[in-house]
Amino acid sequence: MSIKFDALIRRASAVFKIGLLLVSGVFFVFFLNNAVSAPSDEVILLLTSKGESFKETIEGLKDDLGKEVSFIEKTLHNNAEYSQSIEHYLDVIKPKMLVFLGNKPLQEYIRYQKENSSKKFPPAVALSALYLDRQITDLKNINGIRYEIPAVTSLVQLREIVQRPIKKVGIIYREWMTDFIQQNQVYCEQEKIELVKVKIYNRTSLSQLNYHLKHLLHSDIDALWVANDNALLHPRIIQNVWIPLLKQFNKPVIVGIHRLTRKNLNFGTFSVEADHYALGIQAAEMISTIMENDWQVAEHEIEPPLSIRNSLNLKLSRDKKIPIDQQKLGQIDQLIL
Amino acid sequence: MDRAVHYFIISLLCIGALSSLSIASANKLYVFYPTDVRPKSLQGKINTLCPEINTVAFGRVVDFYRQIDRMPPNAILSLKPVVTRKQTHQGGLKGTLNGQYKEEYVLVSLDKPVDLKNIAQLKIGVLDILGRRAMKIFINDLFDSRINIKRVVKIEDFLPLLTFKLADAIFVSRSTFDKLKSKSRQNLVAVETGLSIGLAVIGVYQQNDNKINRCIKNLDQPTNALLGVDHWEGQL
Repeated sequence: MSIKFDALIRRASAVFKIGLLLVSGVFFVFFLNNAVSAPSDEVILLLTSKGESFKETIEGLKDDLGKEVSFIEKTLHNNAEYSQSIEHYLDVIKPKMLVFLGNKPLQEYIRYQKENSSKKFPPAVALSALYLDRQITDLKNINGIRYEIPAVTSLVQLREIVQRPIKKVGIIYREWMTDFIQQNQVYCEQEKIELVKVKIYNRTSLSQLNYHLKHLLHSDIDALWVANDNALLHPRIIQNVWIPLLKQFNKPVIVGIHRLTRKNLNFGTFSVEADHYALGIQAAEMISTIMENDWQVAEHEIEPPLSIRNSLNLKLSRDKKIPIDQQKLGQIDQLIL
Repeated sequence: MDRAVHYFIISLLCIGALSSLSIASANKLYVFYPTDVRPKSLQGKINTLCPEINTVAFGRVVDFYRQIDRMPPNAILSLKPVVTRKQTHQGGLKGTLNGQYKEEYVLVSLDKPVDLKNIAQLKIGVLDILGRRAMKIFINDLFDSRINIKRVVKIEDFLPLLTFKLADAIFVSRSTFDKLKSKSRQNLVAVETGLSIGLAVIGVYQQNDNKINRCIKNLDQPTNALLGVDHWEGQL
């Protein structure tokens, strides 16, 4: 009995060894196959600031282009380290292209180009940097995708879910944003939405902001669009100006930062941010056009972001009696109940 | 003897692990269907109607394909070209709309209809359902011409593409065109292309899973509408 069992065990282990050999063979072929189709020696250097959203964008880039080019990623933690590195990276890595994610790497590159104006610069794409148009106008060989979501994208979506006309939308902004607001006005007009604009000085006091915002909220508008301006959205200003005034405003408030729609803050009803993964795909499309053009930027192009992620504070909408089409809630990424 | 037993147990464990990779996960349905609603919402609807199966919906084709490779389900549901490309799952139920297995596609532009004769000079917005390279090949084959495409990843991204003039026209199904028209106040005009693309189908791993088939055949009208069909055909 014991001998028979031993024989059985020996046979099973022989079968197992053969199986192991076969599996190893399969893995070897798989490895060989992948080695052959591995990305080329054409390297794209990704220079990023720290942040989760950048990781998603890089994931999108790699998913889309990772089989055709190699990406080298450098996350930079502080300015000093970074400013020393940019020239070093170009010399050592010799990338075919640069991609900047975030404000700081781009600012350092602006400085680098200024200090080395006679050099030839590789093509570059800038992403996730605020108000990109102002930053890259003087840069050579660069394209980019803006970070700000145009008002029209948010408003067309809002119009879908709110069962009330959205024809006039108020916006208060500082004068440095004039070009951006005008560009948005053109897009909104295409969708038959009028922007009711209130421009304030770049240096505006709390009481002036309070006065103008109060005036805007009492005017004939169907919703309020809050532009992403750090100075106007300072926590102290949110607490002392926005929230007290918005208490009486029973219409949708569209913000560009998800956390401004968070529960119990009583600020934004609807928020729209860039879909960071999709931003990576959009950038990959831009990069592939440059690749197909023999690694040359054909013309200075800055695109708006196409894809967004949204959130709706359903509780605040109900409190303010803003009628929401319940059938359309499936179009919302994040519902705050 | 002890060593032999040890080998035997390891062999059994390895055989179990390997077979679990090759056998599809029972009653599992993966869905990738680009629609207005978010994947989790679509997944919730199907799971509510079909509690006996486990449905997972994906928003990105790359994640859909990746998960099929990692953990093959019994069945997958997507547009025909997406299922056809993934050769592991074939031959299940077919969705129909007004008795047709395919839907007509049109070229939509702002204000002025595009001239099909100049298609090679235009930038055409398309929904990425296959990935960058495969999508390019698919569209070129469909038009039988080299097309300059600009991809979007969600249906809702089509309108911005036109508004911001990042494409001359978008290539969309007739039903998507109708939805865009109701959503936008811009003057959207469509040109017939004479081209059509297969509607949603089910691809099955090795053999039909009756639970999944029965569930899909019994989906309610709103859920079918989300999947772009009004009926499912095929054997139970």
